[in-house]
Amino acid sequence: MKLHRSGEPDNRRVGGLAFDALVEEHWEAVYRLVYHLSSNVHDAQDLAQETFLKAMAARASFKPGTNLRAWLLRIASNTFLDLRRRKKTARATPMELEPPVEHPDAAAGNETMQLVASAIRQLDDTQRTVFLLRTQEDLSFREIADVLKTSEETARWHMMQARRKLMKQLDGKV
Amino acid sequence: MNCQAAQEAILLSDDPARVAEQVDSDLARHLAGCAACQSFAARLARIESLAGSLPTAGSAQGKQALLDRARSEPTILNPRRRWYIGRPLASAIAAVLLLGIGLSAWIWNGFRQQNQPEAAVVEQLIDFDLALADDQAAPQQREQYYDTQAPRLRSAVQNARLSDEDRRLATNLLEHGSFLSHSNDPVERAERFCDLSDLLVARMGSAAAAGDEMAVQRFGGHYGRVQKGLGANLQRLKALAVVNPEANKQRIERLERLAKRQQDAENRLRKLAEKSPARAKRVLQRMIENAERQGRKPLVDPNFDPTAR
Repeated sequence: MKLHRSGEPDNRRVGGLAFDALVEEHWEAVYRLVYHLSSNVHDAQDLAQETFLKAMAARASFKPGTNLRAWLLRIASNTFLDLRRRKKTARATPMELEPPVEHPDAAAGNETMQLVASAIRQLDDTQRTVFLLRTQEDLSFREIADVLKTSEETARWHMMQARRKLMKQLDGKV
Repeated sequence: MNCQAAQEAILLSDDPARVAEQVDSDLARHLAGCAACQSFAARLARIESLAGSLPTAGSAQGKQALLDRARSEPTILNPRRRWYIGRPLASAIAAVLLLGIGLSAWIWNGFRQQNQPEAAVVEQLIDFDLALADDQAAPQQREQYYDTQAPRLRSAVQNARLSDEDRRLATNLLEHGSFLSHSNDPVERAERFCDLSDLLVARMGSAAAAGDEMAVQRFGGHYGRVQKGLGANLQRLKALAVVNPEANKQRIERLERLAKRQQDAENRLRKLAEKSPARAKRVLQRMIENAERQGRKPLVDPNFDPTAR
């Protein structure tokens, strides 16, 4: 039985980054995605933490030279889907979404922002993931396709569906 | 380009805020003279800009909690250690269970293949065609998949004890696979997908006539999967047809012919259900209900004029 020795820095790097640096550099992107996917602070914190721990566990599968942020976002979206499945199995009902907690710095009563956030929550998981990766993380459709393990055309298709739904939902409001 | 095609193109664009910048495009020319579509693009761009700046809460606390935990419990960064040392019993039980499941599956598969060799070959070929008909796979992936699987399947067809009818079906499925592996025309691929659907309806008809309810159920399952894949591909094609004005008219005519073929297949299933034994009838009726549910939406928007520019 071969065990990893603790305290060996080379074994604890992903894409050349030690754990602390990895978290510092990519936490915001991962957290933003899982926060807007789960619409729930507690789940988002758990999901983001789990994402980084999974990334460390699977560090050998990361290919140096590829997009580290896209790799982490893929783990994050899969972790969210796992949680969703677990909750569905446990309750046999759709995952309940808590109302999002407003950011302390956000302008109080920013109705337009809340309408947009609410409309995004109505999208299905894949459409929401594609839309968030494109608008918040500015990933290309090629990178989104890599995150979702699908083709670029399909990523575009999901984006189109998401945009169509949002335009309809927000008609006359934004 | 009319307004509907322009708005579809905006929805498919990389960035709605920059669509007007593509100077030589039909879309940019349309936008230059259409206030409604300019407003549509601007509104979408505003929604995306707002979405891009949506605030989050609880981020800093979550990050700090993770960093603190990693410092106080360094083993969380090395989960394999916890797994092997901390849970040997769970590992052993899981290994025994997996071995048991694997053995059962192997024995059951062997039993099925021994008893239904023709069904196993045909099922593998249907899976093969379905994988190749998937429009979401890249062309190179499809070709690679075909090259690795086709020789084995061809040999399986040659060696299997097949009835004349099953051999014809298997040969057809192999030919479909060959076509699907190198064709990049999505409409043509959908047409071949529809051929596969027709083949399965015919095969169900033969099985129902022979009173083979198990076979009706089996082919019914395949038919359902093919219909689901076909429905998704057709919806995608519809959208692409709308944003490609050059090829629209011919493409939409072909899509309408496909819709008609699906309707014909549904009618054949209805007739088949009427004269089938009770269990097979139930299976067929379920399939018809599914097909009806999927067919509610019109394939092509009746108000869309493909010749308008």
